[in-house]
Amino acid sequence: MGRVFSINNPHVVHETIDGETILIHLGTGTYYSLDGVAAEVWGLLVAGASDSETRTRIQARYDADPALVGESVGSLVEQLLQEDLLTHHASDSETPRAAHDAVVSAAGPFVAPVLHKYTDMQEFMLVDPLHDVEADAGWPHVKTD
Amino acid sequence: MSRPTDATLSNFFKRAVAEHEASMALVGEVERVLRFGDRCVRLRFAGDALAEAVTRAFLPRVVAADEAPVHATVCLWEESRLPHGASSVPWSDGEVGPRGLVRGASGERVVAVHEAGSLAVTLVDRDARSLLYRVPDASKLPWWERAAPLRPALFWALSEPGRHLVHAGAVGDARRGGVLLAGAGGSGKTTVALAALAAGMAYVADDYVLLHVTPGERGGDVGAGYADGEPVAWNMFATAKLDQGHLARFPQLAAAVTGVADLASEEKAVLDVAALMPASLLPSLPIRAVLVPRIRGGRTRLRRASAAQALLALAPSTAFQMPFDEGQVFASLASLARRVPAFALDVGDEPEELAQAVDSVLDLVAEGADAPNEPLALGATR
Repeated sequence: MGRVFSINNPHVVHETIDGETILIHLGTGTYYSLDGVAAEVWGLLVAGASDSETRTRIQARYDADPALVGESVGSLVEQLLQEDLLTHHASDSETPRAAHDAVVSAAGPFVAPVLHKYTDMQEFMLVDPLHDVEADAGWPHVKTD
Repeated sequence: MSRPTDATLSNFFKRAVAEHEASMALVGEVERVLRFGDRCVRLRFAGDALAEAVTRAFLPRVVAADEAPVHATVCLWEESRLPHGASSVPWSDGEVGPRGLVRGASGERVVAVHEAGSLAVTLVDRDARSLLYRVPDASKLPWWERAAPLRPALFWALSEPGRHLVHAGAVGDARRGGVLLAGAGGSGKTTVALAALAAGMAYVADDYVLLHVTPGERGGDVGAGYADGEPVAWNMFATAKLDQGHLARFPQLAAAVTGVADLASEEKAVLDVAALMPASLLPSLPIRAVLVPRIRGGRTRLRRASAAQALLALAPSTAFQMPFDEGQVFASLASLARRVPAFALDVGDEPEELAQAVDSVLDLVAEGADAPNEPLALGATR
């Protein structure tokens, strides 16, 4: 048993290209990228695998210390929750078929998964759009003084 | 964040329609139809002054009223033309959300965008495909709104799956097609676009295009050499925007811009590409690659980039700028990133090297060469 997750719709959109996942949180102005193991973890979670199932699947794929793999996967899941990219809504009883199919490629060496976070566009979302904008340049140029 | 009620926004929309009609009765109606590919947008202005101020950036896109079916209509007027002024907006500052968006409690039929600086108000009735655009006074329209007017309205009016107003530039040539310049403000899109323009290449945009990722019917004014279904970048605004650095780096373009001496510190000079370099401005280019510039200085360097890097450069700046986008543009841009190769460009100091880099990308793509993920020699394939 473990927690299963949903993407934080409609605030979060994501696309995976060539094994790299890009996520945009439309509500916070933050965007993210996941590659390697991190993208695999994301793929499993959004396909319906629980966190425990995801840990087990990643541990089985890599020739690495299972405790280290489990800890780093768990840490990534917590980060995804903290960043409001996923919400957990129930405990699993049966892993959906899609999750079984989500990881198909051969694994290389294990590299601890990392959530790359980009905050350079947060100003679009956080400033007062009428009053904190540079008078000579307009939206989206934010006052610097 | 609190929101006005849906009824409040609907009632304001009705009052705004009446104000537009009253303004036209007072100062006359001026109609212009703009064509972007196979989509036409009708602009119904109250008075010549606003029509002149807004239409200037669109002059190459103006067509006869009966040339093609109109997809959406925008009604435009000035608050200053109404003897008793315009209605106050029915929302508080705290109800204006990110990107200036104002939505009703349920967020459904009528939405508004209240823009900073220009204080332009755009109102959209989603069901009726009707748009309203009100500004305080045409003579006080800020430079950026004159250079690239009506972005929220056109983003909404022209959006559909696979087709969006996108924050990106596009340059190239009619024979080999174009590159889409991807990146946030300050990444070097305009620098590369100006370098291409100065080198005599074709110009579609420095930072906003109508991108059609999966076109079927493209209308009648695309050039030869397009493959069916190929992504297309359409020109929106016939301008380029030069900051102080650009004015110093491109003296031949700076000489064509008027009023440079009077620019405020953050103000950019607006180059009227349609008037000054009409042969360089193309209505569209097929997009054969994504080019991701980054200002670095020194020598310009070009190398292959991943599709994910292209998407990272393309998507956030559009998604976070356009008030009506709810993630749809992201899927379209991902589709583009999967279809065309991407290149990273370290933007150096010499404009000639930047134009050469664009040239090299177009040659590499035309030859089907698979560039290695290491610096490429500029102009090596010519």
